[in-house]
Amino acid sequence: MYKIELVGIDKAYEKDLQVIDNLNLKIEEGSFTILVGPSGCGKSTTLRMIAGLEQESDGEIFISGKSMHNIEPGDRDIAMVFQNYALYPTMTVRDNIEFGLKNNKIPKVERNQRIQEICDILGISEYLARKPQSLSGGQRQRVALARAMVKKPSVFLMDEPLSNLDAKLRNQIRTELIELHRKLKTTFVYVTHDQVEALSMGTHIVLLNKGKIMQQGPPLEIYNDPQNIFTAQFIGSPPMNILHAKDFSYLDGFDERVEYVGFRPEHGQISKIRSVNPSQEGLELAGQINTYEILGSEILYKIETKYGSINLKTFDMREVYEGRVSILISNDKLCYFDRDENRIYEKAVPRDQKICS
Amino acid sequence: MIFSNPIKMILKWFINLIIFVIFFIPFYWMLLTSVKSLGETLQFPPTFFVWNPHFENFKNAFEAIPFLQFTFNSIVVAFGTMIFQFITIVPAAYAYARYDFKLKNLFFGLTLSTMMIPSQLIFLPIFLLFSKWGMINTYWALILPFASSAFGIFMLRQTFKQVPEELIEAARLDKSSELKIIFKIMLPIAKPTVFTLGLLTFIETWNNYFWPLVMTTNDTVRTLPLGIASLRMVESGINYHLVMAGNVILILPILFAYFFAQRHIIDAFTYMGEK
Repeated sequence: MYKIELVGIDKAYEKDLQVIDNLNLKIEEGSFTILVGPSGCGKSTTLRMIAGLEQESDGEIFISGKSMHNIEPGDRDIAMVFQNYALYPTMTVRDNIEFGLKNNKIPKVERNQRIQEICDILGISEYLARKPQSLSGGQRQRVALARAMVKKPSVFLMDEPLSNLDAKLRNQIRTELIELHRKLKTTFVYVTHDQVEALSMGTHIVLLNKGKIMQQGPPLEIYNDPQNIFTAQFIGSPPMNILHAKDFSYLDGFDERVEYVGFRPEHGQISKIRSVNPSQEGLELAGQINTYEILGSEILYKIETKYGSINLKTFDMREVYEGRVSILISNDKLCYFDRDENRIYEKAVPRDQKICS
Repeated sequence: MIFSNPIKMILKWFINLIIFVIFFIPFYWMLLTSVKSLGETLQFPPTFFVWNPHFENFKNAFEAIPFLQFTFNSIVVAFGTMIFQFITIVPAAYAYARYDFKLKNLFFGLTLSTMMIPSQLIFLPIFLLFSKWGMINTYWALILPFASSAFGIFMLRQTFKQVPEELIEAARLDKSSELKIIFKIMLPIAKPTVFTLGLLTFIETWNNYFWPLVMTTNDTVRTLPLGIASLRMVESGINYHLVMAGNVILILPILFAYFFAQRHIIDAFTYMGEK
């Protein structure tokens, strides 16, 4: 059974301002589902509709098989973690965590026991008597997590919970969240605009753009097998290089629908001289290195070719290339897209041809 | 603060001095007169210090009128007004800050426009109404017309509006009722504003002379300012020393209240600048 189901969801804030258009989404029990997309894509709105904080214009939401129509946020058996923590400023950490339990009329003995348990897991026992203002960002986020966890909800909703933290802390809490998910085995729905967070944490990624699902699936599938240019460019850093196929001279053997050719930055092999290696088939490009960035374990090149600027990533740290170079992308690493920017799968393209620019 | 320019510094001190004189001299004059003898109050040129203070003035003022009755009336009216205002202002401010309803802006505009109507303009119709209802010479006549305050609604609405939306959403997810949101989340955050409004209402009601004068015809529910005014006519001539002694007693609770709430008042006004 699916834990959460969205059926034909529409959301419009005003008549002409459709944020979400006929969204159908199934979220599996126990999954760590990431809603990811650029700002304004409707990911937060979707999460807030699941929480009941936002009313859907049309369609229906089911949690645990029950329709959530007219069910108050407090009665949906969910907990939410907000971007700016949303801790009650006048209450102590303990009161913050306990507030929801009291409202749910949980007896005092059990309340104390649950709070103790959660605080041990998150390591916040020593702050219980303090007010949120006196805590650091990371500590506040832990308290917000504790407040959500202590209710033992069947679904955790998280709205960009890490974006107010500095980079180091973000990585640390990211790992903690993954562990937490493993431990609790509860359904997590997590909203972010950061594709790194999406790839690293999710068991299931839902990529949204302009209120529509562009692609969904496990992280590796999303990365390795993008169904459209949007996915190919949004997931992965730097984004996939996209070139106009019609610029190439060898069009004859090509599927007519092919409009764009793409490849990941790490799939281009860079070499000093033009090296048409007969044993390797693929696309060969000549270019001029514009800039390079040494990132420790990898080097990023920005290369100007006559088909446009491309990004390349190499893990060969022995040599830094400069000046004119040649780039080879093997055939099986090339992705083809049609006029509507949708993927054309390999079969549509003859693979036995040597592609040269 | 460091002033590189000495002229600026002199100017600053000069302005501070003027402000001090403007605010302090009347206060000092009241304290001084309250311990003068009747003869000294009429002396010309006036004296600026008293070598043998007549503290018995306070006792005389206290005994000349039913002081305790007036004080009791003042307390009932002041706290009655504060309680009524709390009951009406909090829900109104919350609704204006958080809900969307039809004609909201119109109603809010109407609410604010009542601030511009002076009580001198409406006392007559209210007096006629209250006399018809037999409410003259009752506490109701002194409390009900001030049972709400447009200024209070406006101030509290501003404070409520500054509370981030997520806090309320978090509370809703914590299964909190609307009343609980108001009393457990919003009001504790708005505490400085509530204190300030309470204090302003207290001072206004405590010092109000005009309204009790119009709405009462005998001493049963009259408040302290009226009682102290009646000290003037105790003996022949105006007993300035007794009136001033009464005034000193009158302002004591206000000084005390201000001292108590000072921190909150400063908080209320600095909170508005914070994000």
